[in-house]
Amino acid sequence: MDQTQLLKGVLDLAVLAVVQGEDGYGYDIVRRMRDGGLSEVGDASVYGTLRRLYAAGALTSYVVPSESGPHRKYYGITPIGRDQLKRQGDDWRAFATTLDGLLAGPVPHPTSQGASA
Amino acid sequence: MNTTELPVRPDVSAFVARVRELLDDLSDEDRLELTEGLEADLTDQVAEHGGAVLGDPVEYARELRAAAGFEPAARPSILRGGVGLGDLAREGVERWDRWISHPRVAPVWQGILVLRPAWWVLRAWAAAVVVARLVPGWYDYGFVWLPGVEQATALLILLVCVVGSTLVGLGRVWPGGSTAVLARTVLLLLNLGAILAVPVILGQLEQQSWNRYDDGYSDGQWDAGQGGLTNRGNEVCNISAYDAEGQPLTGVQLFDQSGRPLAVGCYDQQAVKVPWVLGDVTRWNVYPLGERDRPARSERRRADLTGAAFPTPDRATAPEVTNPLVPEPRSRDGRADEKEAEGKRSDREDGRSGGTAYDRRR
Repeated sequence: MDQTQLLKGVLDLAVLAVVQGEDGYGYDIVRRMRDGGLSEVGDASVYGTLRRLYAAGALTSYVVPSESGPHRKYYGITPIGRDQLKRQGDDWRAFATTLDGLLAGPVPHPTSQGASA
Repeated sequence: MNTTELPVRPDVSAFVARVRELLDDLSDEDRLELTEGLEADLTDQVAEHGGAVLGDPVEYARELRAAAGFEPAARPSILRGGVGLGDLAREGVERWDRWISHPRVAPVWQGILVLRPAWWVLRAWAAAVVVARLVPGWYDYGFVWLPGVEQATALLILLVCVVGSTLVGLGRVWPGGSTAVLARTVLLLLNLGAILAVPVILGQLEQQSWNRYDDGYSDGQWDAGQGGLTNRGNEVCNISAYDAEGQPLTGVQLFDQSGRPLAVGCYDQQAVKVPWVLGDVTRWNVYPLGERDRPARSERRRADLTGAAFPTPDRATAPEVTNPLVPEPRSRDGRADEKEAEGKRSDREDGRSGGTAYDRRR
C-alpha cells in the first residue's frame, strides 16, 4: 500500500516521535524519518506539520544563525507535545494491534471449528 | 527574523521566493513561520541530492499549506467569474507559474522582478509627461525630460508621479492588494499605455532637442544680425585701415559685396563712439570711428566732443603689400616716385584720403 496514504493520519505522531529525543531543524527531521524507514515522506509535508504542531503548542522553535549559510530553524518538543505523543502513541499501538489481529487471519471460533472439521 | 541574509544557491532562493509568493494570501506571520529556515533545509537537500530535488513550487506550496492546516489557496476572484474564460485564464496563470518556476527560468525571473522599481519610475515618467502636457502654456527652457513646464513644476510633477507609481507598485494604494477585475484591468491597460507611450515620448524628446538647437541657432543668428560685424566670432567695434604702402587711413568708407554699409554695432556704441555724418545722418561704416573718453548717453552730451579722438591704432604703419593686379608704382628707381609718394602722404595728412585704395586700383 502507498506509504503516503498511510502516513496522512500519523504524520504528527511520526514527527513528534523523531523530535522527542533531540531537537532538530526541518531537513534534519525529514532525514531522521526517512532513515527510520519512512522513505517516501515529503519534506513539504513535514515542514507544514512542524508548523502546525508548533501552532498547537506541541513544539517550540528557535532560530540558530549560521556563519556559513542561511539560518536554521530548530524544533523541540514541549510538555504538550510529549502528552500528545503518549496519547497518540497509545492510540496507534491499540490500532496496530487490532489491525495485526485482523491480518493474522480468522480468530478460532467454536462454531466455525465444527464447520471446518 | 530574516533567514535570507546569507548566501544561498540562486535556484534555492528563487524556489523559496516563488513558494513564498504562492503563499501570499496568508498573513505575513503565518507565511514567515511556514517558510522560515526553508532555505537552509532546501540547501541541505540540494547538497545531498542535487538541484533536481527542487520540484514544482506550486505543488510544494500546496503540500506545505495542506500539512500546516491552512485552507487551500483561494483563487483570485478575477478567475472565479466566467466559466470558459475563467478556466482558460486559470490554466494560463498556472502554466505561467510553472514556467517561471522552472529551475532554469526561475533565477532569470527573480532577476527581472528585482527590476520592478525601475519600471515604476519609468511609468511614472510617462505619466508625468502626460501631466506636463496638461499644464497650460509652454515653457521653452524647462526641464529637459519634461518639456514645456518650468523646472520646479516639472520636478514636482515627477516626484508626485514617482511616489504614486511606487505606492501602486507596492500595493499600498489603488488597486492595492485588491483583485477586483475592473481595477486590475484598468491598471493593466494603463501599464500597456505607458509601455506604448515611452517610444513616442522619446521620439518627441528627440524632436524637442532638435527644436531647441534650431531655436538657439536662429537666436544666435539674430544676435549676429543685430550686432553688426564680427571677426572670427568676436564683435568688431572699430576698424583701423592702412593703404597698400602701410600708411594709416582716415575716413575709409566700407561696403559689402551688395553695397550695404559695413557698419559696426557694439554695445553702447551710440554713447561711446563718434560717428561720421552724411548731412544730418550718422554713418557707422566710415573708419576709424572716433571714441569718447566717457560715455555720452544723451543727445546734449553727445554734442560735446571734449575728450573724443580717433583711437590710437595698435601699430603706426603696416607692412607694405602688393597685388599683381595693381601696376608697380615704379617706386624703386625714380625720384619722381618719391615725390609722388610724398604728395600722397600730404594728401592723407589733409584728411582727404578716404577710399584711397579704391582710387589706386583704378
